[in-house]
Amino acid sequence: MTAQPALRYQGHYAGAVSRLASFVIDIVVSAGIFCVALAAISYGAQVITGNLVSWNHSTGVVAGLFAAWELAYFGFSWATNGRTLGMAVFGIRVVRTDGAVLEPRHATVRALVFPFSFLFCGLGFLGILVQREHRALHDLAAGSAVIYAWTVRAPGSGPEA
Amino acid sequence: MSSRDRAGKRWTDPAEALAQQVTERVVDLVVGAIDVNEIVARVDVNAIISRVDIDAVLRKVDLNELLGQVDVNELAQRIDVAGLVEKADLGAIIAQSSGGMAREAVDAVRYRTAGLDQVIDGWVRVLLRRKDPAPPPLLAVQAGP
Repeated sequence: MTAQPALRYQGHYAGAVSRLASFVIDIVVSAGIFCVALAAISYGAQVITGNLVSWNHSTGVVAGLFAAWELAYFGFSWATNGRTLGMAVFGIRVVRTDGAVLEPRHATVRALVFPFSFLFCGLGFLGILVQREHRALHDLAAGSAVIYAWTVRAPGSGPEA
Repeated sequence: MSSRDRAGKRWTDPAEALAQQVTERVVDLVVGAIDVNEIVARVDVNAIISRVDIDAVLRKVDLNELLGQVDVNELAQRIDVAGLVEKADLGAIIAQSSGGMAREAVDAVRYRTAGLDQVIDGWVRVLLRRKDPAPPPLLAVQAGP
């Protein structure tokens, strides 16, 4: 792939496909980590207490833990790097509406409002499609935007910075 | 051979032997007196090389004939492949090439996904009958290193 065509996307507002694809990666990865962590806790408890620990009868607890974990996963990723693992794969990044780096408090607001975008059949995400700057409900609440921000290499150049 | 010839030969043979001995002695003395290193030091090798038309020399060389005389199999047997492999950091080379391929693949996926974004954005613009141009980039373009 030549560098120049890809360069034209850099800095522009990211669209629905990139954001959906990155979200799918994030949800798969974070859910996988959560399941492994649950299994590790069960195994550790079984080794220590000698009793088999099952999560089947405590779905409310598991759901609460999962929600907290997702909040931490997305909030921490946005606050520290401006992007999650899935966003890194697709070369997109969360920034402030003026292009500045997302601060932790904005990342926290974004992570807290993020679940509300799923309400009413995902009405909060409609902004990604119809809004000029592709900003969803959580973007509007946190004053953030998602842009293409992968560093494109010219053919034969060195490794990615 | 006549008696006259024999008498002449009696004189010429010693004279010829003497002349040869004198010549050898003179040559020894001259060669001993010459300092070859000093002569070589005085020679301007660069000037000689600059006079040589190397291109013309190379044009005269028949490389095919030269290569035909080379026993490639014997040459290959002399190469210490194990030593070469040991010296070359093959792991780093493989990691570098495979890493480069992976980066190229990820870039291609990103590029195609961004292209799909543009397609869907175009459809939405048609559905909404939006005439205003797309917003400018939020950040300036950053080329890679």
